[in-house]
Amino acid sequence: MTTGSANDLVSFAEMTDPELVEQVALGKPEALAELYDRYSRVVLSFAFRILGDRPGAEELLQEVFLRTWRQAGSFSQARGTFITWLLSITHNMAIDEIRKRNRRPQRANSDDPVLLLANVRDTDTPVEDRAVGTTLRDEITAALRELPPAQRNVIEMAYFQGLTQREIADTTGEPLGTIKTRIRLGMKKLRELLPDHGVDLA
Amino acid sequence: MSDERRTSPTGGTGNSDECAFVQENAAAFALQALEPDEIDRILRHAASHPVCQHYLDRECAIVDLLPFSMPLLDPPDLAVRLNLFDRVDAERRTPVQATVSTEPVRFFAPQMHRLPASTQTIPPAPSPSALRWVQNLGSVLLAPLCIALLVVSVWAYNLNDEVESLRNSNPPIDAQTLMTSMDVYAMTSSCTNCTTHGQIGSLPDQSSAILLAWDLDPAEDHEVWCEERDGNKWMVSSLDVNANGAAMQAIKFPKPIEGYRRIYVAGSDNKEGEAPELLVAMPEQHDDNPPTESTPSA
Repeated sequence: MTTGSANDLVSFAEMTDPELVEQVALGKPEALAELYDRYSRVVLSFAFRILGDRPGAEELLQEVFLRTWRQAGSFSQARGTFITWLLSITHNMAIDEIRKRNRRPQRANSDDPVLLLANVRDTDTPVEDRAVGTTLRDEITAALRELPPAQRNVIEMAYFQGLTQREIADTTGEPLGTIKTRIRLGMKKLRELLPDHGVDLA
Repeated sequence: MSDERRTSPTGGTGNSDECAFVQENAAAFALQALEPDEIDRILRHAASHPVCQHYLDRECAIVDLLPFSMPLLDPPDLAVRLNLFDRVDAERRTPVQATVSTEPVRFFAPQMHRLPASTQTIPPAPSPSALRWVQNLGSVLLAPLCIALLVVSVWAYNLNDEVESLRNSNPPIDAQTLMTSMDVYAMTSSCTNCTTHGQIGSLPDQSSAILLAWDLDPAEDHEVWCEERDGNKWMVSSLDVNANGAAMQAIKFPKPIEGYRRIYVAGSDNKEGEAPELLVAMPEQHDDNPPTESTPSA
């Protein structure tokens, strides 16, 4: 990788995400390196949550940032934050990978994402947390924790395992209508809970 | 469905059935848990109904928060980083492999609906290295293009001289001169009920002529024939007749037209000229009194 001068490195570290993406679009790998340092852990964790294996997640991490390198010019700040864009790419690629593998993903540590959250060690304040917000994860976790398990489960199966409502119904043996209702009510409850936890949906 | 969802939307093209379907399935849509036909139905409707689009956006905004619920793993291995930037460097060095796409790139943000992962394709955007490659390509091509342009300019200059020279050596024919110096021979049809008629314009001692004809059958093939005074007949040319049955064509005869007894237009199935579509009998050669059957009209 081409390395810039010390002044460049300092300036990249001080740049906002949109500024860095702009530099990436101009062909500056140092800017991509800065974005990688900020978000690789978030992307890796998210990919791991979907794929269920760390080597696969690390491979996906590379692919996500390689795509960022290639498509930085398509990012528009007016349409959302960079991290949302990045995680959207991660989710789409991970689900594609899951479907390509044509098998159920291996679960990371537990069937319950909320329990996984309980095992998180925050020995320091990672740069991802500074970027994303130190309390965001706690707020979302708390909201998820308040969902009835059946509702949380179908949301998780849909989002993290890439299953359709019909596939969830087939997997669980529940009627399709029940799955649809659980998804709808679960999301409705999340919507009601998240503002109470200080998450601004606007 | 709640009463709130039943509220008639203002603006857009609301449709109660479609609105109900979107609102019932917006959460599943955001979670990408719908079947392709359901997704199509929602997208079609939401594209023309902002209120339903708002429902989708609202659900997507929640789904976009879900990744942040993940416990953070230990940072990726340094080897992953090194490998990634090796690949980035490789792409920069071999820009030919980069794909430059002109397609619009979809951007998946809370403010917009999304397709399920199986149908989402983010076309590759032009990478910076690809853009640089295009710029370099432009530089490489510039020199040969300049040389080619220079050669074409010189050739065009010479061509201009040549045209000017030809123009001086062959002064243009004045239309008035042409009209006054040309004899026009009327061509008549052997068929009494036909409206077919024509003219041949030329000079007796010239072998070139202009043939004009009207009301020929455009569906048939027509030929221009000449009959020598000794009875030999020659097909001179085929005649191009337009869709309206008209023809205007320059004809080159083997010898001056005064040497022929007759010039006629015949269908391709009547080459002997027994019943020509058009006929002109030429005056006798070197005859001071032109025959009455065909006197030049001008």
